[in-house]
Amino acid sequence: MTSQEPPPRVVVRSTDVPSRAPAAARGAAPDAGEEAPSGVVREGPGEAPGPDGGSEPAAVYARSLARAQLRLALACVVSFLAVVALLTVTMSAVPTLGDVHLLGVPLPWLLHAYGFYPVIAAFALVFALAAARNERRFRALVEDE
Amino acid sequence: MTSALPLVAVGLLLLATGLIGFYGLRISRTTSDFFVASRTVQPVWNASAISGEYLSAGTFLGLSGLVLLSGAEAFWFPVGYAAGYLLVLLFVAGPLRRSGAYTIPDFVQARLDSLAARRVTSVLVLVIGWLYVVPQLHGAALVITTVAPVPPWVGSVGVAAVVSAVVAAGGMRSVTFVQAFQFWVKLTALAIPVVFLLVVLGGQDLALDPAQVFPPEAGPRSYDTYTTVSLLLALLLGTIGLPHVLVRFYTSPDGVSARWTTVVVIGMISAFYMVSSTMGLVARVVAPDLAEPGVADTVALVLPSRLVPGVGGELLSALVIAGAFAAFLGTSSGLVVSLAGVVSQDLFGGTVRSFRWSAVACTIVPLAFALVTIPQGLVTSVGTVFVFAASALSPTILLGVWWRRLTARGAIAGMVVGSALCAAALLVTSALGPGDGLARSLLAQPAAWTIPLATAATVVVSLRDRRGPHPRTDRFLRRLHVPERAPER
Repeated sequence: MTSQEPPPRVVVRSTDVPSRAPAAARGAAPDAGEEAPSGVVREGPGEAPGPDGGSEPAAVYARSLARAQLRLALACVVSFLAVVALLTVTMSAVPTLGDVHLLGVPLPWLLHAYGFYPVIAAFALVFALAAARNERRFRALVEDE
Repeated sequence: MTSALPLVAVGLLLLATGLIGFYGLRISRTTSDFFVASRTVQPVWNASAISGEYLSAGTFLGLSGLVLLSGAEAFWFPVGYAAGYLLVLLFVAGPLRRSGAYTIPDFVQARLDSLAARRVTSVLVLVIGWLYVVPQLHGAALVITTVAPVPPWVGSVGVAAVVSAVVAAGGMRSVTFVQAFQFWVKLTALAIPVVFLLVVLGGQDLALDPAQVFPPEAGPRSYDTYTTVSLLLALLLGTIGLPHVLVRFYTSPDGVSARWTTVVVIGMISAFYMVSSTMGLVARVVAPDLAEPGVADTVALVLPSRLVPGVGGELLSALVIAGAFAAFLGTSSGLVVSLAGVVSQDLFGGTVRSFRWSAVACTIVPLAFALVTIPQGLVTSVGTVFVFAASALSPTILLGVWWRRLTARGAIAGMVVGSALCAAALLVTSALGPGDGLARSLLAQPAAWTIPLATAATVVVSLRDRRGPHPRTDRFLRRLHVPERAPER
């Protein structure tokens, strides 16, 4: 990436919420920027350069960030569905599981009642961490310019 | 259950709701406080509010009722609701927060720059919201009749009145406080009785015959593949299309915190669903006689007094009843806030005054609908809303965030196709009544074909649209996906 040395300096700034101190804004000071009229989404301050998407490298990085996030989300959803399918088949198609009882309740019932939530939570956590990492990478790239 | 305890409990809940709403009123001063709590709500606080608003009568009362009535199949609903939030997290939480729009129609208009697409979205949001409020009011009617010798409509009207008053008075900020409070009410109101019930059951020497209480033919082995897949698809994608879910992300300070908020929400609602599922399992052991349509949904209210004798049982029942009202109030007020936001912005330019009147109007319509219809099972009615939301709005929202070639015409085509097909299938099903066979399953659980068809319509019309995507699309999409803060941590 650095070998081409694109001349223009890239400025990626916040496109939203100018205030960086939520705790302060929470009190009384109304955030003037937030008083936008309905339906009209304001253009952020860092959107000016270029007719159609800002200066080139930033736009390229942004597109690759979006693609990375989409790949991550799709990978998560596919593997999540695979785990769900596996769990479903296990609890519904393995007949001997029904003979195992815990506190009087058959194991398939317990699996269905409680087994999916840890899976959902685990995927949520992994995705949130990985998405944050993608964004850190993007920031590092933009910084390098 | 004719003692005054339940009424006292509900009274205390209403009082606390009113006080918190009033506290919110004193600090919500600006227009954006009203609509999105000025976007300064912190993740755990916001997550409590989101969970408080998401956990409705459906899972508070309806889940144990449906477990009792039809067995383990009922567990798909809470699993689907929780997994729905996973999809929200994966595909829309961060980007939608960064879009800077207040409501789903705002997002659609900003993305496609089309007033027509906005109007179609607004109408669908209203329909979905109203459909969702109706089961809450039905639940209130059901509960009030088990508490006091009054006609059912008293419950519906009472909840509707409190909701429109709180929303009109305090807007989003006060509702955020109210709902965060109500999440914890709901969780404790179900968790404490469940712990007591388990302790009591553990103490008794139950001669329990698993084959009778948990028969395999009502267990996981009995699931029909098509119905299960279609229902799960609807529940997974439906959450993305719910109006009161998305408006909440706009109250997070930025995209990153919107994502973490969602992770916390998933933890919170999962905890609640596990407790509620336990209530369902206990119900099968203790109250098989209540396994009748219409009655089963009251089982969570009845169980404590059955198992715990005397004042203890009455106190626990009162707690559950207070929690149930928290469920009706929490979900309804969240929905009414987002609906009132949409109506006031679409019709009246988004002033605070019009927001208040819209809040009242948005409660009266579903109230009228609730009063003239007969309550169905609470979980299934809520599930139906998910099917409709998943067919009507989810494809447009998902493609709007991730597909740059989406056009306004494509979005409108998809929304019309999805909602029309889904509505037709559901109406035909309710006209035909219960039945078996593949054709009936296809109509009763239409999500597996309505969502793909809606998506296909969106894609095909967008691609054939000679005007192509809006010129500002790339810039807008960049804004959705690029983190908003300068490197700070």
